[in-house]
Amino acid sequence: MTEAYPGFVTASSLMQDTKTTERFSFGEEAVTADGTCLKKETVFPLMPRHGVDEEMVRLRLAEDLTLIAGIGKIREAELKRNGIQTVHDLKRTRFRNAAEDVSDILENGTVKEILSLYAELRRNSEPLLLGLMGDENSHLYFDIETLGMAHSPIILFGIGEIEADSVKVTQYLLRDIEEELPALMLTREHFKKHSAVISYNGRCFDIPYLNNRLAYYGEREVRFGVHIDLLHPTRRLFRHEFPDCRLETVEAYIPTFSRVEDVPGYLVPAYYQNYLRSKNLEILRPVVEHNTLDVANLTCLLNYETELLYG
Amino acid sequence: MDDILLFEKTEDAKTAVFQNPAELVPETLVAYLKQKNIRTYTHQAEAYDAVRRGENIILTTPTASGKTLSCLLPVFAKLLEIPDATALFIYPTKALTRDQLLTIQEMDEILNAKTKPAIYDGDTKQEARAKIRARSRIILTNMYELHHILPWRAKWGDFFANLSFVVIDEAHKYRGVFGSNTALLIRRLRRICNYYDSYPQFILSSATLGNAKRFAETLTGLPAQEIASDGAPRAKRTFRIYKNPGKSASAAAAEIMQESIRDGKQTICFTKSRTGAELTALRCLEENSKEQISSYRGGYRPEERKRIESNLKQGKVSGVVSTNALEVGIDIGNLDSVVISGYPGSMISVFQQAGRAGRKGQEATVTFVAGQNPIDQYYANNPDAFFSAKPEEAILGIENPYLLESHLLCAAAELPYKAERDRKYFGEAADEIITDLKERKLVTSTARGFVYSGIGNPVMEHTIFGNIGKTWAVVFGNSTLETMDDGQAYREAYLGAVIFHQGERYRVEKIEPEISVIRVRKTSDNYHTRPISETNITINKKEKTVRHGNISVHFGDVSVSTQIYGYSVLEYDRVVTTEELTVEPRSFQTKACWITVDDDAPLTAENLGGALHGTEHALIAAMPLYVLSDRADIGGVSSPFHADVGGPAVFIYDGVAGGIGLAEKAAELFPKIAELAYRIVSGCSCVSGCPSCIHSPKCGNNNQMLDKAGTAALLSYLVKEMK
Repeated sequence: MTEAYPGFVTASSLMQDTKTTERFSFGEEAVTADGTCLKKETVFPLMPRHGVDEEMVRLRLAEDLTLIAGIGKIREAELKRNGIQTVHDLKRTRFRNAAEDVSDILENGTVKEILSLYAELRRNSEPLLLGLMGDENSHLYFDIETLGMAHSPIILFGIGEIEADSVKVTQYLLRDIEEELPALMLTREHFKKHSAVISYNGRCFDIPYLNNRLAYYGEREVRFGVHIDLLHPTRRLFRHEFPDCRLETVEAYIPTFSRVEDVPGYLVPAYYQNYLRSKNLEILRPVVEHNTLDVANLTCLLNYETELLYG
Repeated sequence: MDDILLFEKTEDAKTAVFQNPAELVPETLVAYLKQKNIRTYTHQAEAYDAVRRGENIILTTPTASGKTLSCLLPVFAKLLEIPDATALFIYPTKALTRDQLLTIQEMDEILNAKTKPAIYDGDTKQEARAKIRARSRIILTNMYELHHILPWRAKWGDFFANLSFVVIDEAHKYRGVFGSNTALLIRRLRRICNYYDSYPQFILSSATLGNAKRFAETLTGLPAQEIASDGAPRAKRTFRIYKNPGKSASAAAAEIMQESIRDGKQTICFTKSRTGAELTALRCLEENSKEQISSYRGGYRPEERKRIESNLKQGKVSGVVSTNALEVGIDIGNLDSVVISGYPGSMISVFQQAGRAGRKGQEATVTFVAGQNPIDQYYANNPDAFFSAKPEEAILGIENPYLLESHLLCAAAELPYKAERDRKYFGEAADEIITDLKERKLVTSTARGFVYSGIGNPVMEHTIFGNIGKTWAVVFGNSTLETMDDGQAYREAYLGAVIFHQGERYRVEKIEPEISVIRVRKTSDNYHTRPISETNITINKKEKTVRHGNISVHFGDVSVSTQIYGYSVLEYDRVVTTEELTVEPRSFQTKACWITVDDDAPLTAENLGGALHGTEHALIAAMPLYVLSDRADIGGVSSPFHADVGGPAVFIYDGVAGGIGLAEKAAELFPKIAELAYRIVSGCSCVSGCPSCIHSPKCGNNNQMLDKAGTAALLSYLVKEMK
């Protein structure tokens, strides 16, 4: 276990020395102008990744003729029988006007322009877009745990960054609610260094929640180039194969870092309330592990799905 | 006809009084007024000038006096001058919101003001929301939605930062507990705006009120000016009071209405209940076609309502029978004749309804048709009292600790709460509540202020604006006729009940609770039904007893349940038969205070019941002033023998489930409330009870079994014993 999760201290060793438990077993104290919070780093080795050539992605995307208004599955099949294989080929047909812009963006547009095009077409759950995530060093994997429903504080922030052949998960944990602001500020620093965010349901939850909390304190929101929410392509790919598409369920079907002592997400608030009463950090150990693995496993999921599509 | 005309008085026509605003009017607006051939009335000019001077106003001129334009002129003036300025318009109903959107959009288009007016409420599609927030400078919404919007203020940053105006239409609707909640919500809105350094002005439009200026100031927390000098012209109006001893209110009202339509007058008849509206319309259909007469009420589908509204406006229908749904400012123009069928529960409503009468250059009539109940009868016997009565005062306040706590939690979730900065919005009482919330770990003290740190969503957790509950669909064949809330479904759609809809009768055949569907079939017989029910109260737990002199006032947790035992089948107004029903009682848990009456009280076996019942009503009438509520927020039950206390008792309970401190405060202030109640009853010159003393507009027993002398004797005894 210590091999798989370097930097992680096991429960039994914690219990031998309670002094360490209370102060430092969850990493070190991070100090900011707005106060302090706890910071912990965990490094996971990464499997060999499958590199994807961007040109290849552009070609594959162009094969989907239904991107063009007026073309459905049936007409697409008909066109393909007649030798019209890509959106670019449509420029030779009566769909020329409609296809012009899409063809141009797929050929010459930036990644951001391609993603905006798909968002406009309400097609941003397209799994093939995963191939556009580009340089791993630009990736930020993100997951938060909150005290409760909407409008309550974020109590734990998980941020994954790729370093050579490993992923480093940095976590900021509040020892009390007043540490939320420093944790938010530290998290925002990570966002400044990365242009691509990868999350699971982050489009609807983690990112708006993060920004609402920053704004709550009167602080600037995070901005970044592209956001891939893996929930949507995962649903498209596995909807019929998995019982549901919660991250915990999906993990059971694909190679990931496995969980030892996990806590279901919905129990996190109860754990934290319990912690606030006792101030015994040990209580939060399963919550912290849960979040670490949520972040680390995002890399596995992205890798698995990319390989499935482009391997 | 057998109707008896009891009273008639005529009010002369009034010519328009025009006035130009003294403050600068932008060229575009001047051109607009010219194009539309509008000259501003005195009140419109005064409103314009006051708003342009930076004041908050409350407009209390009558229905159809051009109140909408009074609000829109200064708003557009500013939005034309300042390209970023925004305005929030708040309405009490979705129907009114949709109606007003059209007016605002039209004005925006002619002025080319580019404000992109849009509705943002529960019906607004998810994908449209971001665009509206980002682009619209005029947004129309309701208080419930605003409550949900505020914690997401970050998404609204620019809108609130540029907010110049908050327009609250039909402001008199925000009274009692609902008004107190709204007043706190408005303070949350102001706190957010002030944080963004914006200080919006408030423009309120309201029915005539006894205390308009003070009401506006309590609702907004800001100084306000009342604008009441109506400059709009008025047609000559005749006021009449009718009664028909042999007939029900709906039969009598239908006769008056038919007569009025025969005279070629477009007529609106207001009824007290949904069934009343349908029944009256049905009677009118005996001599009119369906094209001529419509009924109108809540529960109808929006497109059906819209069709009736536009038919009315274009003069395509001769008459409409409506509940108070058409009392609000929906633009249907004015009519020739207004029939008020039964006292609508407040003078505020009477004024609103009467205001619908009178179009340019034509004589109009307002007819009050008295029904059989004691309130109506009192006004029938004292007609002067009806038309000389003053509108009620609207009571509300921000001091209720239950409401204040809920709103402080929401506020702390919207922006960290700073006691020294925010005390000015919520009052000194807020400090103590924040300290208590901190001890309960619902807020946490941080360097930036108190941060909300509870687990639940504070907006959802505290049902500040009441629980919406589930909605039932009344289904005929494959289509939905209308919708009903839980309470309506229980009272009106029991198995066997006859439901009216636009002149057709339907009988309830099947109730499917799992899917909230009530299945009906058409019926052609002439019957209708009326439920037979009883309301009971049981004490769950006595929490405390407050001793005032020799009288103990108890307070505790109670359950109030209403049980339908069966229903009467009526043909016209004659009971043909009664049927029994076995249905579950409908109950809710709340807080109550109660007193028991001992043998020393100067009552006899004969007048005991009537005295207790009258005392219950008088106490409820006196309470709002002391507990800051509307009488509709409070309920009461009295009984010559109540099993839980083993004797005669009067209970007063909070109408909101769970209780919000009304009965609790009443237990503390009981001597004061009883004394005011005594003064109301003993000072009233009526002989055997009237709406000003012991009649209650919402009495479940139709104000039967009331004894004024006994009530006065009992209250006098209580006051003396509490000294």
